[in-house]
Amino acid sequence: MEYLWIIPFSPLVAFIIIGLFGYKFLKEPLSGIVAVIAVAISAIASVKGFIDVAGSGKYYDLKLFNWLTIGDYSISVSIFWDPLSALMTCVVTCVSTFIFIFATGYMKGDESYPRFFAYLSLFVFMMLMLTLSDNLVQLFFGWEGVGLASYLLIGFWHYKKSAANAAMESFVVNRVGDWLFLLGILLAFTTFGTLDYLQIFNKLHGTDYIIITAIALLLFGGAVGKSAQIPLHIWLPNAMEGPTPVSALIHAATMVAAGVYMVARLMPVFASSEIALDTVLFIGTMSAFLAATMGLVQNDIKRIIAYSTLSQLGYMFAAEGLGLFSEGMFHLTSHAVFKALLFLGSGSVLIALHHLLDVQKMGQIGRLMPITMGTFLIGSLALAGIPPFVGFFSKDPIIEGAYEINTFAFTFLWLGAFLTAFYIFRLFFLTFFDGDRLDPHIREHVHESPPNMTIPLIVLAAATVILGFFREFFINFLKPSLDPAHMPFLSPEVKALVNEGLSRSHHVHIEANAFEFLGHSLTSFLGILLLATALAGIFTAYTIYQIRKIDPVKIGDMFKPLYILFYNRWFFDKIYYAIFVYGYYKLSKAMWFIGDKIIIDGIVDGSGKTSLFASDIFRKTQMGRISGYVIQMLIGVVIFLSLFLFLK
Amino acid sequence: MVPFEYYIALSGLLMVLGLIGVIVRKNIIAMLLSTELMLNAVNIAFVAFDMKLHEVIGQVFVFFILTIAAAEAAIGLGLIMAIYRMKKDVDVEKLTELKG
Amino acid sequence: MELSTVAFWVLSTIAVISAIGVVFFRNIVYAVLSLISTLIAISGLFFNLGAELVGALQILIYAVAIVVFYVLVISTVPQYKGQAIDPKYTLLSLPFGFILFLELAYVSIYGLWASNKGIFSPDIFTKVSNAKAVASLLFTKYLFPFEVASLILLVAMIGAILLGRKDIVEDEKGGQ
Repeated sequence: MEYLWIIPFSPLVAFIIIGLFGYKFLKEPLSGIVAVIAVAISAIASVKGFIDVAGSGKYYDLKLFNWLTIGDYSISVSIFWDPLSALMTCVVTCVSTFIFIFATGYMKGDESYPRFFAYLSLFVFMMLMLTLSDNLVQLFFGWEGVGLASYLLIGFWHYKKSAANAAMESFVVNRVGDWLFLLGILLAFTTFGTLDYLQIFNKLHGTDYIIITAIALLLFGGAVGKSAQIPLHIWLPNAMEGPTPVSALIHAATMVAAGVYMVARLMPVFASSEIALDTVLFIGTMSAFLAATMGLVQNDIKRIIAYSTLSQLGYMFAAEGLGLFSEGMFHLTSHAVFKALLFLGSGSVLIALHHLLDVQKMGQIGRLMPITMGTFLIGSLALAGIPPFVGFFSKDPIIEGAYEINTFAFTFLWLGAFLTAFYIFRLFFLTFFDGDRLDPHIREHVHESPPNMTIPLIVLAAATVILGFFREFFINFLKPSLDPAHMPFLSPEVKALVNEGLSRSHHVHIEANAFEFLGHSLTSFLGILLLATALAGIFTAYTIYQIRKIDPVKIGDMFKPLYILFYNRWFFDKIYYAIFVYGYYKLSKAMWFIGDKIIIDGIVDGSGKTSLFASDIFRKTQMGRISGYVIQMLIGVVIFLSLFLFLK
Repeated sequence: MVPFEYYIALSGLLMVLGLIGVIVRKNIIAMLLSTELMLNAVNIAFVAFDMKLHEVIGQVFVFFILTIAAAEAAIGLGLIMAIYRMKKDVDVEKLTELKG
Repeated sequence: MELSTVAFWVLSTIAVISAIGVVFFRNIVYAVLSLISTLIAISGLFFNLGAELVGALQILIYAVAIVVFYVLVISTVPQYKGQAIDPKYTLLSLPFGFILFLELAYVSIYGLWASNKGIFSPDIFTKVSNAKAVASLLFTKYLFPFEVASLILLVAMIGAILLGRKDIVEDEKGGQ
């Protein structure tokens, strides 16, 4: 299994080569080709590893070298290869490959072409370090590294002020999450004395409930920042300032899913604490619903898809909070595929329309860009949850599970499904059909994108269609990682503990096999309800935006307060700005004024003024008259003599 | 024989009178006169101690003081002449070149 | 009542009253005359104490030579017509002067003076005269300061002559 080391280090080598030699020797398109080849090699290696571990259910813990030793515990750079990490790695590398290929077309003509692929390769390396890690420290290394790469890539066009600000915002907000994560790591280290996953898992059953809850909540805090859940979600829509391949890769498929992966990887820790699971569920549900409401009224094509990402991540966290970890991971996989597809599709649209972002200014380009439109349609149907696309097979089980377990979660997730279908088809109709609002000058140049951009679209669309039917394979494949009964690296006591934690989901039975699931959905009340909801969403969007039977402006006026609330994204931005940015600015100003001006300048100037003043007074003693001096001497003699006589 | 403390007290009194004279008088020449008075007070003290302690060293010292007082009086008065030629006045209030 | 006691009280009274006169007379000639009176009284006190050499020298040097200096200068300078005394300084210095006098008196009365130590007890002076006794110290142990004193006198003489010349002042004025 030593070949597994190729997986993370191939992109690292690409980063170094492109970074050092890119601008001199590897001009466009060579840097792109180098990057694509490196990632493809990683992809091939991961697929091979995936196949290796699929049948056997074994796990491998390979250590490369010892990085750091603290007392008796040593941290090493390592690879932990079991079904869960294999799945995540495959998703990351395979999706990355297609996005890289797309990016060679998208970034054509950009003068910083090599830098882009260097950063992308760095990102893939960091992400793989994260997924392949077997201890919390390497996880954190990858965690921070992807944050860095995200910052570099969002601010790729650094001369644009909005991009630079968005990059800074993403980094700072991520930092808040990372701070919580670091506290969690420290608490884990003091509690367990070790940071390796397997050792932590096997020490769980002796530990205090409160401490486990605290650790789980702190680590989840990191996930909230990285995966942009409420309340640390504000950076993700602004992250759309980066180039579209970046949005597709980092902010849809991989980095934001790192939080979900982390919770799944540390499932025993989370499952040992009811409170932690409830928190995950609550935040996930709220994010799913609130993000969907925010996405309803946006006009920027990429931001709508960004809110959709937020919402779907909420679904994944909700699944994990419900105890349905495998369903959550399956949704992560399918989401990676169709969200990347949607982003790349929008990228194709942007290139054709010369980076026009406002949906209200597009329209009627469907006929001019058939491939883009077709693949976008498939992605939208998958997102809305229409069979036979993969979104249906991954999202509906979560909502059905919520129905059985927690009514509150079910209500919001169900409403969210309606809103999801609605807003994605609003986007679809406004962009590709509806009326012609496009500037005629741009319309002349609209044409389908070149093959190196359309082929990834087609491949991803095909995957969207097929992947759903592999549902059973995925659920069974993940059993050795996420089903306590089948996890080989847990001791019996810990298995019992985890089982008890997951007991909330034990009575839920969702068909693993795709066809059975499909049949069940078409016959049961709940399944029909969900399907009807999705179709209703699509139909509503069709009515309002395509055939314009109902005027969207009138609806907006009818629900004006709601519209304002949604349009301003529930005022999170404004509240955070008022408290943190403006408050900090005022605080700094006050400190400058009091601390610097009044106190320090006061001391400095004051000492000068005091000495001038004092010397002015003392100057008066120098009269120029001898008598004055003699008197002073006399007084001095008297004083000293008195002192001498009376203090003896 | 008067107890010699009285001589010292007398010396002290004359010394203080001379000091007050230096401070108070406005005529420079009068200032110098008061200085002479101070010197004489010191002489009395020296001789009184001599008699008390059965020494003669005090008188030797008085001898030197007399000498120096003479020299100093000469120089001082020479200076006063020079100042008078410059300022045409012997009022000490006018001599404030070192003011401030 | 011994002669020395009476002499002390009379002479010291004259000295003090004359000293006050030196300090407070407006007319400078009166002040000089008071100074002469003081000097002679002090010389009398020296004789009373048995220091004949310095008593005689005091009269010679002070009461004659130095007073003559002063009279010469006073005669050159026109009469000073201002106030005799600066009131401000009087007010300021009198208290301190008084305190100083009290302290000196205190020291003199309660101070720890060494007891008789030296060899020149008064009975010696019956055998050897006071002048001889002083001279025995002056010309042996303190010869060097004696010679230096004469040098000082020489320098002072030169200085006084230079200061007294008219040309210096005019030179400076011409040079400015």
